[in-house]
Amino acid sequence: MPLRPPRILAVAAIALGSIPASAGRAGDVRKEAFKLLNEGVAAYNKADYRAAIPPLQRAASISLNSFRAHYFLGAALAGDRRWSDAVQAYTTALDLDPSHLQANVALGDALLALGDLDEARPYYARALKLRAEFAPALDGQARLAEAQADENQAIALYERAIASDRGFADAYTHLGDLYLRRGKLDDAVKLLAEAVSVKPDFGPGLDRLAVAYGRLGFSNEAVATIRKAIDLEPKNPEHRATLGEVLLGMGLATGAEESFRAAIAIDDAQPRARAGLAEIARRHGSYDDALAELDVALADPRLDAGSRAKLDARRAAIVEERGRTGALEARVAGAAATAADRIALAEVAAGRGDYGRAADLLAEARPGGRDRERLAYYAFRAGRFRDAHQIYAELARGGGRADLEVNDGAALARAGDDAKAKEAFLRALAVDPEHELAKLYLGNALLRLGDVEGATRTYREYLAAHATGTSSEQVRRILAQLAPATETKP
Amino acid sequence: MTARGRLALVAVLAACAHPAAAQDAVLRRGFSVKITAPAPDDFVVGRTKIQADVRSPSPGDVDRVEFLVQDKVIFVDREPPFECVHDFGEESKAWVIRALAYHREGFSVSDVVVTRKITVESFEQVNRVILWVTVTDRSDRLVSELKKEDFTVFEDGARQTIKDFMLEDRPITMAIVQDSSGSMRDAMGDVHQAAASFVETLRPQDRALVIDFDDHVFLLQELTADQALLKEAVTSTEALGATALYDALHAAFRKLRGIEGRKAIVLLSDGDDTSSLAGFDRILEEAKGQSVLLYAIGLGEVKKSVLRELAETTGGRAFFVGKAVELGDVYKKIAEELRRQYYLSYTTTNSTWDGRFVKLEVRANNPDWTVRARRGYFAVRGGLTPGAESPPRAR
Repeated sequence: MPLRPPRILAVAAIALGSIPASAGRAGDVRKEAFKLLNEGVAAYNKADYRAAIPPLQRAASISLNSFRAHYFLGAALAGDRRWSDAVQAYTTALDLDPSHLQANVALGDALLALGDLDEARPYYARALKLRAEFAPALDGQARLAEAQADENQAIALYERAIASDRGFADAYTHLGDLYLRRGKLDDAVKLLAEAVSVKPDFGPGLDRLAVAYGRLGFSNEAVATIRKAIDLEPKNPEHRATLGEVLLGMGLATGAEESFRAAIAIDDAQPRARAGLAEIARRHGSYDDALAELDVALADPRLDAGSRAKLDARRAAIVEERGRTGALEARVAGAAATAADRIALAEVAAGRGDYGRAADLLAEARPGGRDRERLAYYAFRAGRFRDAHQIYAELARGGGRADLEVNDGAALARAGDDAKAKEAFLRALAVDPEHELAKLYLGNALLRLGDVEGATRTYREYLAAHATGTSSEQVRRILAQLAPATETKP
Repeated sequence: MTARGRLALVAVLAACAHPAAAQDAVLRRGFSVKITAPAPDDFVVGRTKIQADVRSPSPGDVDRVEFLVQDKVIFVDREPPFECVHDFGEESKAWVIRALAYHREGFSVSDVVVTRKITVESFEQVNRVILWVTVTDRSDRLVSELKKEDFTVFEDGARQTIKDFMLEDRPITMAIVQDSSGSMRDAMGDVHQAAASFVETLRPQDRALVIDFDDHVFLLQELTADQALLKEAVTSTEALGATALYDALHAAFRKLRGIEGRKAIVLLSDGDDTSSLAGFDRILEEAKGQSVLLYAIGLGEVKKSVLRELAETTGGRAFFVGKAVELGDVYKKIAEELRRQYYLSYTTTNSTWDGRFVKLEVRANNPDWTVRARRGYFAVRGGLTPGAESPPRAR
């Protein structure tokens, strides 16, 4: 997600100069320029970029040597993803003050968003010539390296940016975001938490932290964090899109759709919001609607290069799935379908989150081996826990596979039979005493069965073997609730 | 983040260091590198020499110098002089040029030069140069009955063949730039009257904009052919503040950039620049890079050389008057000149697009005549034909 352009406080706008008391057009123009600049900067500082643009455009068009009018216009245009226009405004600002550090970086950022890496590079380099180790310029170079798929160089540059300015939240956020994409969730959360620690009202940092929490399964934290970002910047559609993504990840499609629509109410072509709506449509099997959503975003001339590449890839995948699904559905409807067709269509249904249909299709294929195991999984995800238990139990009877026992236990637990679930987890641990999930789920089952002592002992054993990881934090919280006086977070 | 986590993060971050970021002479034991050519903010086009000066206590300390352009290694030099030639292409761009000098003990130092992109006007007319030419006789009267054969054009001394020629009568686009700094207070009445009269000389098809400046620069009137609006603008200025002359000219060039056809700036100022962000060199470069005729009127005590240099570079002219009441005559003279200029164009014989300033000279075959035209253009591909329109009928 592109970060918000750097802010300059509204007070800086005062530097336009004193307003002469005059009558006639020249005097009116001067007064108007002053008023418009302050109005635009005020809207910009509230992240209401669309409201900021018209007054700043007018101010810049009449106040021809006002660096601030052109710079803030560039920043507001960048905030609204109008990158080409932002480049023009920043270029004029730099014409007026070529040594302005932040304007050099901002112009580099806008060019980078347009995918013009070679054009962006000199502006970061020039900022670094003007001030060695200038954190925003290093951060820009890092994003440039990311755009060139040189992640190691990017990480080194982000680290230099942070080392240069420990209060520069953008670098923590960008590095955290990179780790997030790499799946290094713990590192990502550390950095993103640091970003909002050094700058508590930093919307982009909160936004990415919410995503990280969501990926870790900390749903409540994710929602609370992104809502904080929305409170801080209610006119920023990025945060609404992120809330939609978090909710969709939690399986809350209705809430996700509402949030995506709130994002496009602010910015009609917000790419992640349109992609989110496309995903919801795809899950309903409405491929044409999904493609229409993506096409709205793709038709937007403001679309940055990175987002365009992602949307293009997504579009191609949906077109491919539409074609494949159409052919499979026709064969299944015409009773000419083979078992392989049903299995393939079941996979598509599962991919759309329709596990009930996936399970039905797979059952009709009378699968064996791995596909039978998959049938159990689909049944489980469809909420048919007894069906899932039957298949897992049957498969587990072959012996020697702890994972099947664990899955059986999980199905039993979800079906409300914790006593039998406990037995399944114990069988799993008999096969593999170090099995992580078996121990974790056994603790959960014991807790639900009222065996607090057994649960506590099991959780502690779990933590001893798995001090870090996605579930460890949750286990610590449970232990803290079980024995708040003795359990503390290390 | 926990305290431990924060410490760990700090430790990780502190461990990183860019190998060639610091030029600290103590740490590097006097080992340093500096790019001596091109200079920062030069503009480079075509084959250009890159030179680096490596300083070291012992001559044998240098293992190698790597030259990088846009972060890609283009040459590795193992012995002095450390230099290479790189082809930057014909398009004007900003480039990041880096020299990385490696000490034989393994550490390295670096220097970076960022060049500048030059802004030149370009329209889709390949290799075509267009000039607007003014000819006056010994009495400073305009000469307007000339033919193509009366002129010869030279580029860096090489004669060119004139292709299209006519007495220009097509519309002009103009920026009227008025100084309203505090020192103009007493002259304002005459200024308004003279400028309004000048506006009246515009033909219906001509367009103009009005810029008012003191220490700030304001657009009072966007481009229009409406003389009433233009007159209202030029007569509404009030004297106050300092003089941002260069900023005003910079703004005028910027406003006219991208507009095709004949363009002119008509500037009135009564003083030297006192408060611009831009400097003389930048404005001179702008004057060289754009095809805009600059007519500068200096009122009272002004630095004549500045206005003269800027105006003559463009093929325009500088006028100097002692009193504001004389402004009317000067504006009239400018109006006449703009109506009696020659348009000529030719296909350049130049084939080297290296960003240099190609000097132009237009001569007339009568020694009594004085010929004024812009002094040259930057040899940047695509930047040749500012002001090109469809070729006119030859006369």
